[in-house]
Amino acid sequence: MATALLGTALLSGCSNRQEASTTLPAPSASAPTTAEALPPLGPPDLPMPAAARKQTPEGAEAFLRYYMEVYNHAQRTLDPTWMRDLSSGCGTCDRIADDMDADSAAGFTYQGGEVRVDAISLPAVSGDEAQIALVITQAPLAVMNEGMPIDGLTFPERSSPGSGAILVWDRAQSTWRVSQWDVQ
Amino acid sequence: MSPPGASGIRVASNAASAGPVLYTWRLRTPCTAEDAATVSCDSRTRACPPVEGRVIQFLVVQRQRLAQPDGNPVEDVPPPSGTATGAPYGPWITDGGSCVDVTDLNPPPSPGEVFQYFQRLPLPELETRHQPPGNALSGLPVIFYTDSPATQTFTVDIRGFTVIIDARAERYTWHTGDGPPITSTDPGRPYPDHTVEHDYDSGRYTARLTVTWGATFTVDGSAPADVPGTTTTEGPPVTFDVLEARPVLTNPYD
Repeated sequence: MATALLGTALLSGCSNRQEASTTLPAPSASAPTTAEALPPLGPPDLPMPAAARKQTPEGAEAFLRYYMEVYNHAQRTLDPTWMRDLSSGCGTCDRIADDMDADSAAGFTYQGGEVRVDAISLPAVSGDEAQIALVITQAPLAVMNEGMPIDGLTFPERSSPGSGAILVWDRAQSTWRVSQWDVQ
Repeated sequence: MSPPGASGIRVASNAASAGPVLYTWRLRTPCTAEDAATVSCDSRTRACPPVEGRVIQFLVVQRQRLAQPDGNPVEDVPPPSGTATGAPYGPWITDGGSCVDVTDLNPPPSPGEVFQYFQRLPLPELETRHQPPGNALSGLPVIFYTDSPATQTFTVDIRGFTVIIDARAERYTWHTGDGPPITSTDPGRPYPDHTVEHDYDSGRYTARLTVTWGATFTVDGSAPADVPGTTTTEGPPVTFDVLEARPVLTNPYD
């Protein structure tokens, strides 16, 4: 059952960098130069903040914090569209998104499972890449079917202190994307 | 983990480092390190130069930072607050694929390594039996079969690991000495259940049997796995005459 992977995929999964996806809109002829002029990204009810669209260490940190909110949004809605759109070849992201799609198709829902960032280091930005270390905790998660938790698909709270991510800068869209998300 | 040497080979070891330990390392096959569903694993692997007595594999080398006693950053990334000294943190960083000498890690024998042993095993050379025994007659098919054992088990020691190789005959190639060989997946049977036969004109012929062997193996009682390749043995040749049969009227009362 795909659902079982949600808790374990996030809490014990790992990913590796792969080729860039093409899920974002095609780049415009000239990239916008200011955050104010940028087309919005992310869920309409959770737009990406301007601070996350800067190619700086602070921008990378803001983006990763935002991506965790996008993940929580996807859990609430069981719509991982934005998780995919804001990642690029991220195996962990894709696996979680695939599981959500399967669970949504099965009529399941999630209860809990929100991820919070407990600590984060100032990212190291080198060119178009940022490396970040972080500590995250996922709240207890239960996968529900017709309002009842499914046996074997309830997960206790779990902290992942040795986690990390690699982001890549998308010049055309002036945004970071998650290319690797390692959860210990 | 050493940097690449003059031969391009890195050396993996669990020996204590002389200086501060900045990273924890892991080695992955190209298929586990990347998405094997989209790209063939073979395209990501390259052959490594063999070194006698050493185990060298093409592997993806990855490292993760370790928190230092003073909390200083490793490769420009400091550990998140609260990270214990010596604890790993941050993303796994891929160094790329390299030929790595993993001998000191004493890894279990790889399928390729077992195959090298398999090729050197004294597999049975199956004898060719034919009917009728002795001379044959033209116009009467010669039946071939072998009653030699078609399986054999070997127990070998590979770097201290007990490896059991179960070899089995997978294909039989009968060289009749007269035209193209006959191939079968069974060892043939004697008359009247025979499955392999050949018609000869009169003359002297030499036949032999080539057997292609496959195998499975276990390491220290593990689940069996296929040996990735086959090897062949050549059985001893047998020579026989095929005679022209002549009808002869006989007096049944003689």
